[in-house]
Amino acid sequence: MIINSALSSTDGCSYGIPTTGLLHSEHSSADRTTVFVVGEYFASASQPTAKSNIDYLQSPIQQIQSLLNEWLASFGSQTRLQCEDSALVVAPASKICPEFFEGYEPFFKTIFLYQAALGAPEIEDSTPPSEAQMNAAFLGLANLMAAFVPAPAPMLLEDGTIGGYWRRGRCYASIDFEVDGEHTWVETDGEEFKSGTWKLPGQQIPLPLIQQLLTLAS
Amino acid sequence: MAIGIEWVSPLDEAQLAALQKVYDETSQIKEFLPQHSPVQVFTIQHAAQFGPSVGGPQPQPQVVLPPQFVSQAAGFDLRRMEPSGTTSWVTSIRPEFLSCNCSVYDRWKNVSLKALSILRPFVNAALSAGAQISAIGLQYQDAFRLLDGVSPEVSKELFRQDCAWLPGHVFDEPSFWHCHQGWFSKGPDGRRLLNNVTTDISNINDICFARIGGQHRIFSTSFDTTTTLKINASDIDRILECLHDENKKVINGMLSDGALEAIGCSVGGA
Repeated sequence: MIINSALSSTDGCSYGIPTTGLLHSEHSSADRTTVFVVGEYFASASQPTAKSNIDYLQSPIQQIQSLLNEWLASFGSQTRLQCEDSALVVAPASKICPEFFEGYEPFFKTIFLYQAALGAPEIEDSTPPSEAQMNAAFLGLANLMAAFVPAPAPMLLEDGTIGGYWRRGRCYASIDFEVDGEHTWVETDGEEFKSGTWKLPGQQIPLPLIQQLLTLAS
Repeated sequence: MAIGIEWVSPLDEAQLAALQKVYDETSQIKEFLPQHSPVQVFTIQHAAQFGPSVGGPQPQPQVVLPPQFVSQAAGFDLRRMEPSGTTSWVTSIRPEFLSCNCSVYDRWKNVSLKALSILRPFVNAALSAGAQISAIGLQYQDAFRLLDGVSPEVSKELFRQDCAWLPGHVFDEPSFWHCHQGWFSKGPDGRRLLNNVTTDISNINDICFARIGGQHRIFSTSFDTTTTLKINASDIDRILECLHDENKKVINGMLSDGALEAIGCSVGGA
């Protein structure tokens, strides 16, 4: 899986996003105006449709999933024809596979269980995660998903800090989601250790960390 | 089952703070929903894009970076978690809506009473703080585990073959199928009512499920959308009964007698 890569003439838009659709490398960039002609439909701005625009049960992961899929679809929506009262939209059919997002669900559930367990009155000397600590973790997880790396395992620290780790054999990486947004990370291949911080929002995921995570996922 | 109250305009910070105060000062709600979690709304920032612009020059390959999420506070969730680790009730206070979701549904009469006892103090506080209701909705998710997998026989056992809610050919399909439909109907006082029903037979983690998702929403407008019909707190009970009847009509019309019995629903009953 390659992230942050420039699109080569043969890459099209297949750059490692775990898609389920048709965005694959058989199309060349020279064909880009037609690459995404995989579905056409008329959408009139003035005609209301019997379609709901709200889901009372939408989880944070579903919200992130929708935004990332919309981001992916926006590439295709740049190719459109405007008519008098409607738009012919040429949109890609690809979506990021749902299993990728489902991999993150246990992490979110663990945070809620952790908060519920430590918040119970009979538990003494424990520090449940604060609102700021939970917010830091949620934003960190959202940006890990946006970097298309697999879900970490949850790592819950005594002071309420929420972190995550990945391990395979001698390879290991971890990250602590800090309330100031300076998320501390460490990674090793079993021989060499690297560490640093990932500032969110603002910075792309650090290169050594993403390289190690992709190695762990491969 | 979830009940939702939607607002004409997203609640501002002061209105959300008023709803937080309701939670802080209402011991019955705090005891029933002891877990308070902040909610953030995510947006994508500075997403690099590529591709041709309309009428623009020949497109050039550009670097595509993964998007970045930023977030901002967007209300809070209140949960009741069971010792088994499952969440039985969630109330969501969001700028766009207020909802109460129950995953331990037994009878409409019991669950709707409980949900309304939770929602009503928040609704009253929001209305007092200047909010206006744009819609009231009811959302259901029913799931049946299909031990014998998917087949035309299973579809015919679970659903009424002659029902108006499913196309006839799905009963002959040998594998998974999906049906999504939406239509407007008339609600109380001639209000506009949107119904969406999704019926799906699919495989989830190697288990075959039949799922029916129903959402019914009444808007603060006349059926032809030309006139605003304000929704007041006193209208909520009557509107919810109507939404429940809409859902009951679909479920009773779609599921076979055996399936209705399996979910404790007598034909024509609640």
